[in-house]
Amino acid sequence: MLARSVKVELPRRVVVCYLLYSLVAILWLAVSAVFVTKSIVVRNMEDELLSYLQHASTLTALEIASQDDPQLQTLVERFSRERSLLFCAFVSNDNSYEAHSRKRLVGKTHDAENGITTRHGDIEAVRYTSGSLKIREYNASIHAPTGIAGRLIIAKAEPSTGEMTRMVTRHAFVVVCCPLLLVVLGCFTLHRLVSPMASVDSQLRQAAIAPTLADVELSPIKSRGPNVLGWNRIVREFQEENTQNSLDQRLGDAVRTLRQGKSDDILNSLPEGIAVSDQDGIITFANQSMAALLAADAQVDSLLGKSVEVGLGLNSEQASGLALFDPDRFARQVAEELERGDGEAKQVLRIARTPIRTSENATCAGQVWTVRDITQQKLADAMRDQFLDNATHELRTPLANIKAYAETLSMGDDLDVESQKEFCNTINVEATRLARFIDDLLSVSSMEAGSLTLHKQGVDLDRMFSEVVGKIKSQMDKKQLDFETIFPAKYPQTKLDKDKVNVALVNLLGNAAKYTPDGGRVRFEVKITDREIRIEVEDSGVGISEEELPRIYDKFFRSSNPSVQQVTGTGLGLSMAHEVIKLHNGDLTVQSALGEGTTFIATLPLE
Amino acid sequence: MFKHSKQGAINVISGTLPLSGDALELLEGAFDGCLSEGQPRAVLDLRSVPLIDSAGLERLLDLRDRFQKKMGDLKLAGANPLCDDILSVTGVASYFDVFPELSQAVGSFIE
Repeated sequence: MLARSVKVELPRRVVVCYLLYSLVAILWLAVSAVFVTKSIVVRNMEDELLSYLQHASTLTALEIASQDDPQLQTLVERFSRERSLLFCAFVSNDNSYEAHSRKRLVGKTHDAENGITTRHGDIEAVRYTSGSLKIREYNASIHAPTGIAGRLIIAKAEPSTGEMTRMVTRHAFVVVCCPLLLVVLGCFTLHRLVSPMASVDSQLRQAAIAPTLADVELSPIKSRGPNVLGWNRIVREFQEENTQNSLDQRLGDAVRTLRQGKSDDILNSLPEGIAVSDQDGIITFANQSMAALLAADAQVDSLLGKSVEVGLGLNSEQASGLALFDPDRFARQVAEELERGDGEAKQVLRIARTPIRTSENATCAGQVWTVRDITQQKLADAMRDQFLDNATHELRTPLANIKAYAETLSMGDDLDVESQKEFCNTINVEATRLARFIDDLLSVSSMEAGSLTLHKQGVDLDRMFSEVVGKIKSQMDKKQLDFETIFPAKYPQTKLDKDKVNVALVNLLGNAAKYTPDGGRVRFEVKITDREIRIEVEDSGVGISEEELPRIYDKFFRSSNPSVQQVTGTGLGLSMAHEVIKLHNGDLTVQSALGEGTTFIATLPLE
Repeated sequence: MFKHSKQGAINVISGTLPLSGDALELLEGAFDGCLSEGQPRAVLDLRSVPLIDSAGLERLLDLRDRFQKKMGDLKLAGANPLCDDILSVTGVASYFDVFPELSQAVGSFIE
């Protein structure tokens, strides 16, 4: 209702009211004018008729007194014409019309009319209605020398209301139009005076329906006058207060946004994936690392709205087997490792889930999830564990042998010289084995620290390869392997770290000897090209499975093949050989088939 | 030529070409494989890289940005004295973890 009334502005409403009352007043005045005019006209007519009757009575008395045959009929007709009377008559003492302006009534009896009778001295007045006419009739006695000669009667009809209206209408411009013009003029003046208040009225109505005053836009009025000045002052103060409030609010919003943005920046800078899920397990927040770790398109939006299981790429069966998704443990913190992918793409994720508890509500409001890629750490741990196993074995075996033979030597007084020599030789071999193992460990340590450096110098390749063959020949012979060596007729001059290349090649050939069954075949071939030395070590040994091939250069890696596990080893040889070849800017590649054999190809650039 | 290999879960990109001119496209191509991973972690082995020019430095920074966008990390290793000076003087070294040896760089990913 308020909204509907707002449609008509205040000035229009004021003008309409003003016009309505003014028009009613003008109408009232017009009607009053008609009746007042009629009253005046009737009064004037009465005075005029009374005066005329006295005059006519005198003339009639003179006519009767001066003439033997008075012409009363002529006289009454003259009187009737002069004053436009309804009629004029002379009634004799026997109450009959002796003369009458209506001739047909002469001689007829005069009947007194019933009406309101008043007297004005000798004149009697009767007011009566005949048909639609209201008639005023006056009669006066005519005095002759012989006495009363009769009565003179004059009658005239009062003007009707219609006649009065027509009379007034002739003056309508003065009576109605002038006031109307003045009213219209007043409308303009009133509209002009009230217009400034229209803006105030409109704004106050907005204030009435607005939910809060802060939502109201008050504006000053462009006009003059004390009320306008007062309004404008109120508006200014209101606007200043509103601006201050708005500034406070915007400042608060800005601070909140800044804090929120800062928190988001902090969370998005973390390398750990962080996500928040609601009570239904739906992800409501995820940082960029979480998206990078879990989402295929690395977009945070693609994680939001999904369940955590789906985000992790788990089906319901896989999820049900994890403590992370055990409903009974939702109120507790849980951490678990999850493996995803296969082969090189295999990923180990450490996922921790912590329930969110608000201070107001002790119940769980959701979960915070942290995800960390620990693949490299797990690989390093696995390699270290394997190394410890191997190292323990490698240390214990020669130490046990050395201890046993040393005890026998020290306690066995009756040992012959041959036996003593054999025992000492065994102790020497085991000590050498220990020393080699410790050398390998030191090399590995250097590799780990990155301090494995090369000392390149001019090398006699023919001599170097011969030394390598010499070192490995006994192992080949021991297993009765068909050891084939193919060397070029001539070697170029080049610079290498002879000792390290020597170690690398001994390791490659040593592996070939160790993992090739008795009576097998080993080929050691050296080729020289314009740019590089190409060294091939081929065996007909146990071979390497396709799954393990990518890992053979990892430190401490040893094949899970039982044939390999039977043979002692540290898992460092290939790693060292690979590292040495790479340090020479060369390359070490491998081709292998399980059960058929392996070929290592090392290339060393010529310098 | 730039080669992509893996040491554990860490990508290693190594090459013998200077980081300049057309070689940069080859460098970019070598990184494509590891950048397709969720949270890529890689080491650029600079042992055999003889030189880095301004375009190479710019490309290194671009690569770093691409790794950071995926919340991954790119580290540099084994820069020769000249490359090491170039990285230091231009301030590019301050944007990377730079290690003298590849193994140290790879090992630094184990937290």
